[in-house]
Amino acid sequence: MMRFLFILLLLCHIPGTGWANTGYNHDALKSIPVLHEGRVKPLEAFARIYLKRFSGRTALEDGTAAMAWLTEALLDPRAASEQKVFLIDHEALKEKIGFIGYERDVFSYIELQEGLRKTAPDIAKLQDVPEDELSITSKKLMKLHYDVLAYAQILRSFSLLLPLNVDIPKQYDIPKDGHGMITYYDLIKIVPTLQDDLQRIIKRRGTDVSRYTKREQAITKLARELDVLQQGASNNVLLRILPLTFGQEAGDWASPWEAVQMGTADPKVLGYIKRWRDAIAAYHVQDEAAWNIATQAIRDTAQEMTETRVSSFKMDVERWYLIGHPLFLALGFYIAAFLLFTLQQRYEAISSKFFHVSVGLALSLHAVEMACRIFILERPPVATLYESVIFVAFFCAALCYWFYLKTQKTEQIVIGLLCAAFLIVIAPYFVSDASNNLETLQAVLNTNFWLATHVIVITAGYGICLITACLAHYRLYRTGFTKITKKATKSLDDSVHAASILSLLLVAVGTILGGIWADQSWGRFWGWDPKENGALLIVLWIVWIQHGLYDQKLSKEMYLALMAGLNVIVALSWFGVNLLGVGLHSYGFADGFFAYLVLFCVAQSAVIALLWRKNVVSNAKE
Amino acid sequence: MSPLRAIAERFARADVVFWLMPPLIVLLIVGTIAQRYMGLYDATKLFFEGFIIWAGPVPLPGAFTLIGLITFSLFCKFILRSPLQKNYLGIYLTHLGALVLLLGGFFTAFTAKESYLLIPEGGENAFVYDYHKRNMMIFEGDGVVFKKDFKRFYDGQRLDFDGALPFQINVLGICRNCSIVNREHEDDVIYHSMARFMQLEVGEPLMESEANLSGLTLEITGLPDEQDGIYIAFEAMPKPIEIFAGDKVYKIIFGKEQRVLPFSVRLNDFVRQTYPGTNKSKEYSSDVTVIDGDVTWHALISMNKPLRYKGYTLYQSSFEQTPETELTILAVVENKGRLFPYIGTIIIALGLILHTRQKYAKVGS
Repeated sequence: MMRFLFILLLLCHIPGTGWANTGYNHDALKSIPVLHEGRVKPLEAFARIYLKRFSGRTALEDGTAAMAWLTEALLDPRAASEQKVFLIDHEALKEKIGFIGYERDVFSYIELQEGLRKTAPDIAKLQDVPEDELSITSKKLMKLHYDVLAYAQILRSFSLLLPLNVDIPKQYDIPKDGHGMITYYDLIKIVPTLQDDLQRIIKRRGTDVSRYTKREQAITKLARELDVLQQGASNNVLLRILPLTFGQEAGDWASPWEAVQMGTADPKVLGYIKRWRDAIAAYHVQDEAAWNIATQAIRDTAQEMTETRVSSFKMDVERWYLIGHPLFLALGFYIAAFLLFTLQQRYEAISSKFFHVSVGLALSLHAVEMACRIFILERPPVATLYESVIFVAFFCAALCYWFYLKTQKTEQIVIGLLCAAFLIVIAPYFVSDASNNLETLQAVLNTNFWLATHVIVITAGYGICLITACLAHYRLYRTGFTKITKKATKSLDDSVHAASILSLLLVAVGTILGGIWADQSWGRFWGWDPKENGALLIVLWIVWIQHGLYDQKLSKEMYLALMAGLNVIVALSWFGVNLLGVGLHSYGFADGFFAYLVLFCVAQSAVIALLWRKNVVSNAKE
Repeated sequence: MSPLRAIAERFARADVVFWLMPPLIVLLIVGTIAQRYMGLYDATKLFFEGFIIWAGPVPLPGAFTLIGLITFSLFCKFILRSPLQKNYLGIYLTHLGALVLLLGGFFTAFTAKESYLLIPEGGENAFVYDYHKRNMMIFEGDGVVFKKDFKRFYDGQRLDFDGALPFQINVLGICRNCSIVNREHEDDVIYHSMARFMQLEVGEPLMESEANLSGLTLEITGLPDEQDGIYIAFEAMPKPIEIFAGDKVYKIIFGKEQRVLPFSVRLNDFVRQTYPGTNKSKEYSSDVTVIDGDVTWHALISMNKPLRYKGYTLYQSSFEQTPETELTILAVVENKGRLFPYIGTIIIALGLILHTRQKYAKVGS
């Protein structure tokens, strides 16, 4: 496959100047729809997904934006193959592919070829090894190979429209278009004749090319070059950018090579290809004005062809969502709100308005984040682990702010803001594919009713459990390490208890709703599946502690310590069961955060033990 | 106070739940982690569907025992210690809901049956297979004259059928997950049927119990015409063991337990919808016709939309594709206790909402 790409690079006539990086306008191309991973998305989203997948970033180190990088990869493969795109920050992997002693971590497609060629036999063997038996280096090596293959597909996506550096024997009448380019697309019509001529030559002269006349050699050379281009493009389906509107395929999407190989006669698609061809020609001669006109025409044609099936507003929303990062802006405002609140507690001169505005902005941006996801994905924003973390963060912040407005209890808003900020910070670690957090759902999850009921309730339950546990931490801290009045202690105890009851309500109802969904979907209410057991664990934990308190089997300190331990129980239930990789909830399986989970549980247990001990000692002194 | 009343009074106290909950929590955690290593079915059977768990020679209470005691405690509490007071209405309702849920759980655990129905496109079927239960059956003509659960077989077992059948069987080998290998012939041993070409070797059981290929190696004696010898029987064996004794023909069949539905189902069309441009499934659905005597009707079974009829729930579980046709696999669940969770949920939700309201009113004041 790599061989095909190298031949393509030789054949393509674009000089490889890296014009894409010179700051010309890509805006018109950014919202063009493309079908990718089962969903129509803007081309800019496609660019960001792949650049992040390859380089771990959404812009290259030299500042090249994702869209500029993609444009270069599509229209100037030679320059793009020298662009340092692939992040290899694992030393053992660097060593394995021959980059010993390199200080930099980013490498180009061309630089990787030798190492990949050497390790290709390893990949064939590793493909048969179960994933959980692969070493980290092996996993990274496999990912690198797959990434490079994907990049090779991207580089070849438009190869049929790129100007070719080939000699056309005079007998084939190829009228050059207004741009003076010859592309594979122009040569398609002569391919059958060319193949017939080649067969005749072989029949007449045999396979020894040295016996051919110059004209025959030219025919043979052209036929082979076109054959190589065509073979290299087989299965080139990554960039499904052409919306088919004609015949049986109407409603489907095709990549440029797919469209050509299926011999589409769709006049709109042919017209759309023509627009791309104009843009490539402008790119080829570096005519900025022509480029701007051509890309504008591409956008207009795309909009016209897809107006009945793709909302251009949705494309724009997805772009704004990806560029705007409302969640990270919200994180900034949560932190600002926390700092303002802390300062306000110390310096009365600072108006509380700043704090309220900051919380308001944080909650609004957080709501925008979730609203965008609902609008783009057309489903409730709680179907993946990442989404559930984001939702719980919002729930914690909103609920605590509401409590604060009602009761003016300072600890509640502090806990809400810190929980929200912490969850937003850890959320990216739960994205199943680092390059794409806007996923289509597996069939069993494809039900908005149950996502909007069971999942919302249970994740809200996780949120209130975190608040309960944090309140218990705070109560133990205040009584163990600070002076606090009995009235304030009583008030905190009541808060913890009331929050724990609300936790039980939401988690119990959420768990049972999950059972009802299981009954609807799988015909049984309860199957002792890890995910179900995880939810039950939280219910049993709270019920146990409540009964211990009610029957005075637990001291107040132990009750609070166990309530503080709800954090650990929620972490195990929410994230831990996904690490097991068994059960019917296969859509929730995840890996890679076991060590962090253990660290969190150990650290939490140590903190709780310390708080509990300090309280016991303080009580003994009193 | 009568001893019975005294026991009930003791169980009605809240500390019973307090003491029973920690072992249940430990069991839940250990059993859940064990699922990764033992598989869902085996771990569930061992930890969650038994009265006793043996830790070596030490008997420990299983989930049924612990949950049973909690249920009994709740029942006693509800009967003996729940005077009708407005302030505690939330708690009473919550307890009542939990009781309904637990009773329903026990009812389901002991009565529900799960099986699957395999139908090719255009085909009709009323026979369902149990996911896990295997047995050996001996047919005389069309009638079953002997049936035995696979779990009750053991190496060296001798079945003489109390003389009711004209032959005896010695069990020479059992494998929960067999590997089928070429037969190594031994001198002086006569092999029959498929045992002439292949033998069963014990393989490592798979994590997914239903995917195991179970089988038996049998020695049959007491037969005329040199039919005595070694036979093998395993799941989905293309040809049953046939034994001729006088004018009678016996067939020995081993496999997943079969049951007959009181109606049959014809698959008109199976559709697997994928997300465009990918192989990721978006929806599975089976367009079926239910045939119950003279009555027939169309139904569409899809993800999250099962068909319920005569106490059976048929839901879209999986599918198979062969070069000739597509087959739908419908899970069939017979669960007469399926209403318990719905009723329990409503009562628990009401109870907890009431209780939470009371608590928050207190905090607010």
